[in-house]
Amino acid sequence: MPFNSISFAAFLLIFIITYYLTPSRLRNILILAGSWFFYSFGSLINLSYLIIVTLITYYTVKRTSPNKNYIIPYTSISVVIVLLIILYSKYINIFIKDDLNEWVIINDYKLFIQPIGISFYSLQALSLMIDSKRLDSKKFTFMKIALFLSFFPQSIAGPIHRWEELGNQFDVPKQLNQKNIIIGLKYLICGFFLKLILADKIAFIINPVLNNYKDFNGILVFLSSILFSFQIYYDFFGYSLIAIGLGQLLGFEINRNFNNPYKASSFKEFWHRWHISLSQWFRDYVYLPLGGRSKYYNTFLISIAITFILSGYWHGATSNFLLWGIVHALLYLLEDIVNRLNYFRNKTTGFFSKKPYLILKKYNFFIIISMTWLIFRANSLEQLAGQFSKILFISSWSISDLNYFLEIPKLTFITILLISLSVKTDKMYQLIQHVPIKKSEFRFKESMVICICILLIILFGDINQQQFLYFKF
Amino acid sequence: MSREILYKSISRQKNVILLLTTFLLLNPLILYIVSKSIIFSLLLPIATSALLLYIYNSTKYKIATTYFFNLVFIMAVFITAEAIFNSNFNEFNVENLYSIKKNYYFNQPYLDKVFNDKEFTVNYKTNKQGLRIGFEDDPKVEIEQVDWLFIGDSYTQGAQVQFEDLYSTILNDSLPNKIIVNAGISGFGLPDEYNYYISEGRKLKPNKVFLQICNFNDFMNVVEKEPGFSDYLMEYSNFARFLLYGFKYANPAELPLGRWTEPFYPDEESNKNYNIFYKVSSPSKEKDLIKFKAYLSKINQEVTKDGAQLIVLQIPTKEQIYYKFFEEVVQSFNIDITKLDMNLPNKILREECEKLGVELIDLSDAFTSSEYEVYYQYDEHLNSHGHLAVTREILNHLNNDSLASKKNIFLSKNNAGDRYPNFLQDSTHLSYQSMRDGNMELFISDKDLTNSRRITFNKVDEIHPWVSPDGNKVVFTEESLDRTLSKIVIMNLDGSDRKHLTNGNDTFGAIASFNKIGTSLAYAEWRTNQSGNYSNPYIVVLDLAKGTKKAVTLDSSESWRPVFSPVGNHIYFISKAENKKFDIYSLNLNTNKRINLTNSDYDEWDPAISNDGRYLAYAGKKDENWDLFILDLVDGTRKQLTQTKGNEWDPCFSPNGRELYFAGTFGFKNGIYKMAL
Repeated sequence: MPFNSISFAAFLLIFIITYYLTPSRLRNILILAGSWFFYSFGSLINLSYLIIVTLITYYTVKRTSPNKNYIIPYTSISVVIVLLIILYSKYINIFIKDDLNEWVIINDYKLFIQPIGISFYSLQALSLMIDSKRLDSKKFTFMKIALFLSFFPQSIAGPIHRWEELGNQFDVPKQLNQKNIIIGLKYLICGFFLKLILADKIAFIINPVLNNYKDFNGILVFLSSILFSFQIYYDFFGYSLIAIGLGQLLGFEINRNFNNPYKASSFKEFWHRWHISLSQWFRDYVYLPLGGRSKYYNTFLISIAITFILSGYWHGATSNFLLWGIVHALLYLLEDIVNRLNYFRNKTTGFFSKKPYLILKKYNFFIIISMTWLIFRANSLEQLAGQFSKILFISSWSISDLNYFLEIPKLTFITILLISLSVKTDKMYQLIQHVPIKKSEFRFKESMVICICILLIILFGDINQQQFLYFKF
Repeated sequence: MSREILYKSISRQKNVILLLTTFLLLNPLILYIVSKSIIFSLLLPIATSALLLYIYNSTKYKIATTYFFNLVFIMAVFITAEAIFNSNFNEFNVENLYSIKKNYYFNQPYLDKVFNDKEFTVNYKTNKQGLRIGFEDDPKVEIEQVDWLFIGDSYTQGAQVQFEDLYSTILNDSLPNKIIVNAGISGFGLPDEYNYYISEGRKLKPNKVFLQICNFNDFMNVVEKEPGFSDYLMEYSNFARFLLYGFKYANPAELPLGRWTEPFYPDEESNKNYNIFYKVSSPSKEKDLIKFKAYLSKINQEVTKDGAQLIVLQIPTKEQIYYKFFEEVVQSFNIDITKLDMNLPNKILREECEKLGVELIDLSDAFTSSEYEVYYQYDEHLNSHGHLAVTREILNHLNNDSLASKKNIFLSKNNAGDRYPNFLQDSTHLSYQSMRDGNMELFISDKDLTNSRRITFNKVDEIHPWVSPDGNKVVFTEESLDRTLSKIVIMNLDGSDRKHLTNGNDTFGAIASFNKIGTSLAYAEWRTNQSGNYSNPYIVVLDLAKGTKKAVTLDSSESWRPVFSPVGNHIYFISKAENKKFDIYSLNLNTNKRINLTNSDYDEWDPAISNDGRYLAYAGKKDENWDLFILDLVDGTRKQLTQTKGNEWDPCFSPNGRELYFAGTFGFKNGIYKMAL
């Protein structure tokens, strides 16, 4: 049940009404039932995977908590099992698909159901099992662990939470709160706007170019790859806002997952701003255990390389994701080496301290990041090579080909995108979180923006036309 | 105290301003212009302003006032734009051809459009159910049951050829005793076809359901459609349709080759995901294939459950049939031909149909061997030769049993309600009634309904013609708006000497017939009494030479439609003398002896006697459907001549008694038919 579907709208409406009509003590049961229904909507296989991971997690934390001696063997075995489940569920199709030169009809439909959300709730399960030794074991009931792993607003595509961030929230009774409802709805509206009006419509503009890059001029391929950066950002950021909004409607605090990632001017900064919960997860459970920024540079190199490669593979077990991880690792390390060489460091005076340089640096970095997204998007290495060769062959660029963007539908969406880009993220958060209490706090302009977003969603939303990109992972 | 009064007064003023502003924004007059509904035009502003005032004055929900007001404002702008668009910019209106159903869409009812394309110009008309009909067909006719139902996409819908050239129509012309309906809709995939069958198709109780599958698009994107907000907006608002059309639909002229080339794409990924001919697969394609098979099985299950038979028609793509189109896509899209298997969808469907036990008609061979090109050059659809090829292949493919009842021959030249055929004494001509310019007129034609000659020209309905044996006069019923006031009229065949045999003041009549020698007329007559009430119709015999008229039945029960026996000593007529249903009676004019010849619990009408006087044909409404029967008056044996889903009436023996002419309606098709006896 994707968030951008009428089925989900109906489910949410019924769920929220029932939720607030249900006595507080029964609400956790309702959330679990709703979440499990949500998972089972497309196929019971989705729910089966979730329940298996939940049972493994519950069994592990219950066995390891009373007896600390069991921690290492039990946790290790459970972590391996969960990793194998992820590998099996996500990547079994790849093993079948690769080298498919002939048509193969596979009658078993189940093979092709990639369990939704498994990449996300499995990471939460792993973090809980690993952290269980330092957590209060008395709080580990099956109900709470099941809620922690299946909480539908966020478990499908993040943000990935730690037990301390989400688990304890299930203990606090939630009251119907007008402020939560208003803020939650505003989060939903903004999230859907970013997803349906910006991300999906950018896809509508750039997909023909990037899919058929051979027929388009290099400048169009280049601009489309820049636009793809916005598509992937608004797609995922939109989803995150929806997740926060859904949480808010139910009285839960969901973490923010993005912090102006395209304002970053370095890879290090970027990974502190982009998909924050995933970056932190890999930092805490892969990078640091591998040695992290240790005194041995080789250890650091290896830690970074493995972290990024695993992060690439987490997104998908195809060559482009592997390459994307490697490229990020290399660029991250290159940046680190340059910094260590002190080449640009401490340049607090002169050109390097001036605003134009800093702006230029940000723009340069944005273009580099956009090019790495092209790797992320590629369906094959051949396609990637073709797209890059088109972009790099600058002498063949033709301005007149930009007419492609001037057709009315495309121009409309580009205009909406440009207007949206002029709004700072902080302003958007302010708009969402501002709940007028006194008359003097009413803001006509603010409510008009929300209304226009609703209108655009109704007019151009094309619900069900495209799924969230991150549901694939 | 005075401050409180002041506050109250200000608050009241604000409420009034809010109320007035809402009514100004949601102006009932503009709403009426847009919606044409007085209730909606009044209810919307009243409900909106009441809600707005409630929110504004409540302490709990006051926060929402600005949001609600702004939403009203935006809605008002949109409604005003709709009104302005409708009044001033109608030339930009995008035709709304489809209406959204729950999980599919279908033709709008009562469409009457002309589609212009560089390769064709087509009239497109639908009836009240949204089913495509011919130019002359009555859109108010509702189809309740059919023999064959065709479900499919644009290839079946055939909006690129005239209705008369559609394969379903040509088939119906070849099999006039069947009701054949075309429910093809452009863009339909298997889920839509399944949903249509479940929601509407099965209500038509078909014996055979033809499911047309196309290799063009049926194997890709096999998903159930779920309309979004914008789809509903586009259905109900001309302005929204104008605004959003360009965003939703691409112009085929802007496609890479200036035509739809699906399932061939310029990029590898799309071919992997969607092109059924492309051997390299993807999870998306395999998922589609699994769903395709599942839906095919589900349709078969439902059709079989309804006691019908599913027959699959597989239409190949242009690229499968003509090398030039294949070469064009392969070269333009740079597709590696070693990765293509152009027979793959046919193989898959054949295997699946075999597995399900479903009959499959693969049209590839028929198209390949067609003398003419079966597709348009740019448009991907079938031209009239293509539709003809489909018809021939279906007829070839179906076994003889299916076509055994193909003994009716449709004689009418148009769909104009031809009825009441009757042979003239010369045995070579027929008289009949037919609709012209909105009312029924009388005609005489050759017995195959060629060389027809109209013999009445006016604005009144003239029906039930019966030409005198000498061929000089015709007697008929003249109807007025009030059918109870109809008159018997006699006139020369050239229209001269028109006389009323019933005065139309206190005596009325209908359905007259001559005796074999033309000396007498029999017809049903009724009268008004002094209090203005009508009597039941009774049968009278009018001696034309003497001018005397004799009632041969009583008016205690309804009697109609008398015909003389060839010898003239008997009259056959219908009456409700014995029960509430009409039976056919014979009356000996010499002895006054009356016999109920049919005596059944259903209505029997339209007695017709063979020239040798041995056989009586009539129409009977057995099982709530009119069929033809024949009764041997010598040995009393009775036989049901037709058992169709159509209605057959007005039988009339050919002079040699070997054929029966009759009028009938089969779905949208109606007119005069003949059948061998």
